[in-house]
Amino acid sequence: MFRLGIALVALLTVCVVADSEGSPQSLSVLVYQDGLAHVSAQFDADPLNPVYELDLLGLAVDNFVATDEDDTLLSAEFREGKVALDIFDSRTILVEYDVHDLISKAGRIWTFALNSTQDYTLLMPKDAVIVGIDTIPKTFEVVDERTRLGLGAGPVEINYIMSPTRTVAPVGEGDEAGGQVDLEEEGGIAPAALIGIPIAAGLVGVFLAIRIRTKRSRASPQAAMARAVAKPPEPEAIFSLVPDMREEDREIIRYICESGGEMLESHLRKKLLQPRTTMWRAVKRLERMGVVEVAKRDAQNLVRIRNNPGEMQ
Amino acid sequence: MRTIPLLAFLGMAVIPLAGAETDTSALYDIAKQAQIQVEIQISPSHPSEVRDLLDQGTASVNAINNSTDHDEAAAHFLAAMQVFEKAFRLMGEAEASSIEDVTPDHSEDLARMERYYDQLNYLASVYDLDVDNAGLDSLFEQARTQVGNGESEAAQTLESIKEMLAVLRERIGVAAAEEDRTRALEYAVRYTGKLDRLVAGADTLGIPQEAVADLQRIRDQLAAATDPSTIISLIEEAISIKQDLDLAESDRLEVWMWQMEDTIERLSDDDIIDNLEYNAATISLDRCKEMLTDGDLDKAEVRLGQINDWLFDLEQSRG
Repeated sequence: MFRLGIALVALLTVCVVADSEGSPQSLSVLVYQDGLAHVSAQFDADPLNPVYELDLLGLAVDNFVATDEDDTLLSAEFREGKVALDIFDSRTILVEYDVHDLISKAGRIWTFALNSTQDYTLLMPKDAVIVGIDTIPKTFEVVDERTRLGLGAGPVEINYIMSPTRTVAPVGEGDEAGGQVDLEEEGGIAPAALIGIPIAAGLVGVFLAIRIRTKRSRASPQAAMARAVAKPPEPEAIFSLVPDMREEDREIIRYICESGGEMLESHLRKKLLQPRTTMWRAVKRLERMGVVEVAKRDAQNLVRIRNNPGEMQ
Repeated sequence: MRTIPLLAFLGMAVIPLAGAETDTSALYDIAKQAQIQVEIQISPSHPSEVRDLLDQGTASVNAINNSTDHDEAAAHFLAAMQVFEKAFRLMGEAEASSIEDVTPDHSEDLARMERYYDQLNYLASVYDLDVDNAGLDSLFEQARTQVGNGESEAAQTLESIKEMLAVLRERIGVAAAEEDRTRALEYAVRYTGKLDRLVAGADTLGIPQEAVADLQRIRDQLAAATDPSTIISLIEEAISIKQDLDLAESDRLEVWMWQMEDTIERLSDDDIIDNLEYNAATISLDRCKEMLTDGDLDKAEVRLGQINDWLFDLEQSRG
């Protein structure tokens, strides 16, 4: 019987012993157009160790802020490529900073290079086109005209250029999702660049027009996502499956469902006029129930009705 | 038990929200983007090797589409991207002398500072600090206009904002340091209790006398310490001693007990348990501490499990 209790604790407590080894729960990197990057990470802390040492993703770091689940600002001491945080009894640590030396540039090719110890998401700048990558990304999607990659642990090098001629959606989408190459813009930059480009652009335009016709039926995941009419989840159906959910939690679920299945935590707080800590706890509670999951979007918490059955607890 | 239908329901209901995995189509899309860029930017002035690389890369891109399995597609994808990257390097070398200096664009600096300002403003409200935002808001407004118009004065304005943000950050740091002291003292009390239990149960846990003496000394110093950095260094010393001992099980239960203490406090704060239940839970937890002190880890684990189940049921039925 007590084994069951142990299992429940493992599922239900915010910080479990197994997570006290310092492994980050989430890591995301947002790349700016000027080659700096913003890093957001969340960690579970070891309650028996009052100091948490964290490897930074670069040596030149700015705007560093580390807080815990109660919005306590944590004292930080920087050492070569590392930071030691005085966490005491903090359970969850949220870290955000800008880093200068994660991305380099040679000519007009930018290079993002990172040897991460964990999986992470990388949000590329708008207008960035990947022209070289030495690993297979785990996920790939285009969000607000920016490429978002899910990358695994290990060394990764990504080369990209900034090009206003970047297709805003995967080429396979064709005109159904508005993902065509912007030929007008191509024409616009061509004279300023090289003499042969307009001809090449024209050829590419013809090529794409043919391709779009012939490949319209080829369904890339992005095309499928764009075409799919996302059916918002029904809150009542969720409540019927989790009947003992608190009323305030139901309110959160309703708002998320009304906005199509996902919502920023900050927006939820404003909608429901709740303090940050209260909302954080509520979201954690829903997360433990397996109803929602929390992801990072532009350094903010995005609360989403769970969509991966395999990950549900 | 209700997890399974919930799994099934959510799996069906929100599939359209799922992020796309990199199947063959996604790999093709990435590689095709790179191919298009080479095609757009290649010119007769580039070395013929670039054309060869483009042909090579295009063949690999087409091969992604014709692959029969993911591994094969992935191999073609990596080959294509390697070739396109090389093509761009070659084109870059040919154009290196013609690249013009561009006027610095501070829009991203501004975006970063706005993000940082939002964070600091929020923390200032957490620490109840009076912040005169008027000056910073006005500077941000000025910077937005200057950046929008491409004015070189934007750099100076952003520098001024940076300095003001540094001052605000320092104020928040001072307020946080005061709270740090309180947190450190509370943590020291908790850790002292842990060391007490460890020392008391040393024989059962098989801790050598020399280590017991060191832990006892640290415990006494910790009980008298008031400075956060002293508290941290004492605990780090205790941790270094413990590393040589096999105390994983004891530590695990200790952490569980701390979590249980927090849970009891939270449930009481949220009025989910009444005073009577609070007292019962606390007494039960004290009994667990005694078991840990006696080195009776198995019994402590059973008792912690029972308290956990009880609290869980209460929270589920009333929460």
